[in-house]
Amino acid sequence: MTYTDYPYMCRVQSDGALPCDIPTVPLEISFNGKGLKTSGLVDSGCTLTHVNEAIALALGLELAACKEAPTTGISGSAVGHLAMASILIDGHGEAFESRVLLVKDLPVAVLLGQDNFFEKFNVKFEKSKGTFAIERIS
Amino acid sequence: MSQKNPHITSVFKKEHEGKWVALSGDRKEVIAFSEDLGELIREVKDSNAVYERVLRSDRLYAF
Repeated sequence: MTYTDYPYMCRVQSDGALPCDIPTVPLEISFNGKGLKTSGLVDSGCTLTHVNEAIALALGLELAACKEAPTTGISGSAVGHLAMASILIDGHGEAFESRVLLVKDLPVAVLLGQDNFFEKFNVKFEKSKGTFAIERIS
Repeated sequence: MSQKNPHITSVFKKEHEGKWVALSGDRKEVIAFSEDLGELIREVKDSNAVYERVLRSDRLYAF
C-alpha cells in the first residue's frame, strides 16, 4: 500500500484568519447496512472513534439497544452509546468494522480515533507542507 | 499513487456554521442545510449527497 496525501481543511475565522488545521478524510459510515457519505477528522488523541449521534439516528439505529459509555474531553464529560459501524474510506479498499461511541452534540460528524482507525491506517502529519497522509495497513 | 480530497472550505458560509450541510457528490456545491440531519436527508433525497457538520468560525477546538 502507499500513502495518500490530503490537504488540511481550512476554515475562515471571525477575525478573517484562515487557518488550515483540520485533517479530514472523505468516508462513508454505515449502521445496519444504511450509509451516509461524510468526512472524518483524524484525531490521534481520541481513544475510540466517536460519531455524531445524529448520524446513527438518521440511519435508523435504536439507541436504546446500545450500551451506554462515558467519554471525557477537554470541555467536559458526556455519556454516549456504543455501537458497531462500517467505515469506508474513499480510495482505501474495502470497508472495515469499527466499534464507535455515538455522542450527542459532537461538533463534527466523525472523529477517527485509535480504536480502530489507527490500527487500520498509518498516518503521517506534515503540517509544514499543509498535508497529512494515510496508508491502509490491515 | 497519491490523491487529494476536494477542498470544501470555500463552499461554507457564515450561515452554515454549527449546522449540517448537504453537498453535491463532488463536494463543490451546497444543496441545503439544517440544524437537523434527519430533516436534511429527507429534504435532499439524493443518494450521492455528502453531509458535513460545519465548524464555527468563532471557536477554537480541542477534540
